[in-house]
Amino acid sequence: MNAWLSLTKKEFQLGLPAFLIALILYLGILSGGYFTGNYAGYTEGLLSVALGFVVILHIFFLPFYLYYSLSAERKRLHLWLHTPMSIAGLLSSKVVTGITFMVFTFAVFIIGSTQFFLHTFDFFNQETIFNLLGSITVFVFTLGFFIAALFLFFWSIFLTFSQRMNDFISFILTFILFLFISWIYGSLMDLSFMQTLTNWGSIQVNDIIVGFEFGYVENAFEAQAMSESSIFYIGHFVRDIVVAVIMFIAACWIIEKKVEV
Amino acid sequence: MITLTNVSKRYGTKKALDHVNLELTPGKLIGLVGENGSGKSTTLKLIAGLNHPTNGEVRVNGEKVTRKIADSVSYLSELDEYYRFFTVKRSIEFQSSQFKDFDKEKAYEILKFMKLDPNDKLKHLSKGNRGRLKIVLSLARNVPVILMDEPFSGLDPMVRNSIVKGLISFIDLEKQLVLITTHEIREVENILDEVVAIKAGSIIGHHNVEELREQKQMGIVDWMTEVYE
Repeated sequence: MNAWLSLTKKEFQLGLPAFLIALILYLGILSGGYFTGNYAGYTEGLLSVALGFVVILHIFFLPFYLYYSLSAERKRLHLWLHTPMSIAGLLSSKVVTGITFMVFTFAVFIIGSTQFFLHTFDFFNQETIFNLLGSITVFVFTLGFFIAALFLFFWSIFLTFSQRMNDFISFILTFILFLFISWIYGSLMDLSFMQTLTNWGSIQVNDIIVGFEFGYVENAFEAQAMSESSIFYIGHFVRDIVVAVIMFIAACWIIEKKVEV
Repeated sequence: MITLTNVSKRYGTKKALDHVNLELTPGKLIGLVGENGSGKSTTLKLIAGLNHPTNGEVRVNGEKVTRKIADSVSYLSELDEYYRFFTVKRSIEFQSSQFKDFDKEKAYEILKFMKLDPNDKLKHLSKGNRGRLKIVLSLARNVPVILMDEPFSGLDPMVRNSIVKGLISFIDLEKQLVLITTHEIREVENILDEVVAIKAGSIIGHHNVEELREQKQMGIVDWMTEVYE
């Protein structure tokens, strides 16, 4: 455990630039939204869009972070892999670090957004805020984890290819494999058997905000939230988690057995 | 003991090692010598479990080698890649946290011998000093096998000799097997017990250095010149 914690401490230092890059990007988008909105006399509207965009952008933080960290590690595989620690230990250290960075900015932005929406728009009430907060958090983290596991899986394949051919051809081959596996996965999920297997544990959530309408009415800024009810299946989350875990285990196996220094 | 049985290694169509059979016994300092691209680094990576043989089997102390052999093998790479944000001290602390057998006291002792400042950042170290740190990190482990791939390549020729001689005092020659690849053969000649010559992926000679001197009246360089021709 001490070895893993010390490794994770190193990962924080290694991955810090990725976190700072993302932070600068988020702040840039918010500043852009604020100043453009100010210029166009549409501050609240564009700032809302920018805030929403930044929160949703968090879906890609973990894959980006892993890409950054693993690219740095790729240059020194002899250091990274020369350890008795399992590949799962090495990768989980990176995933945990990435999630910690992600939670930090996500919490700041989601709380900031909530406060901003509550104080700016009168159509928000406690229920809509909780629905929005809950559904966005679940959506961002579930999708973020899934894409991160997907990235790890295909990165391990890319790394294996790249030891036998150049990076460009390795990337093309990995991408073709990605399209092929996605097609197989999509076809599999469309089967009525799989639908039956995963469409369980339905949860109906009302007042899910799916968009906003902004406009000027009698020289005054007006905003409307568009909401609808939706049904979510716990089975789908379980399916995504199971698939993500399988991809993580497969990535570990490929790195352990196929990747060389 | 390190055993390579009928080991071959290919990188695509390029043959790096060709049916290599080798047995190295503990308590010795062994030099693996040969020209560039002869298969020296590949041999070390296979023993460290960082490469996989295409054919054959590599064993360390009877255990079939996988990446997990890092538990009993210390490996120093020829590559000059490192974590730039570490200080010398942090490198030692990190290495100590990753390997149970890492002897911190010994590490600081070697560090002193190498005249390195623990507070220096790695990104500010010269190539020679980074090379010294790599030696510190690999020798401070109490493991049965130490593999060193070109450990003296970045070192200043003026100090290389004294560092090579100093190495001996930090190796437990009762228990440890040290396998070194190097081009600086004249500098290490006096400390080696055995020498293995490799050419185009095949072992072309394996000798006890003392016997080579007594029986053939040859130094390693003369012997290498002979077997290479």
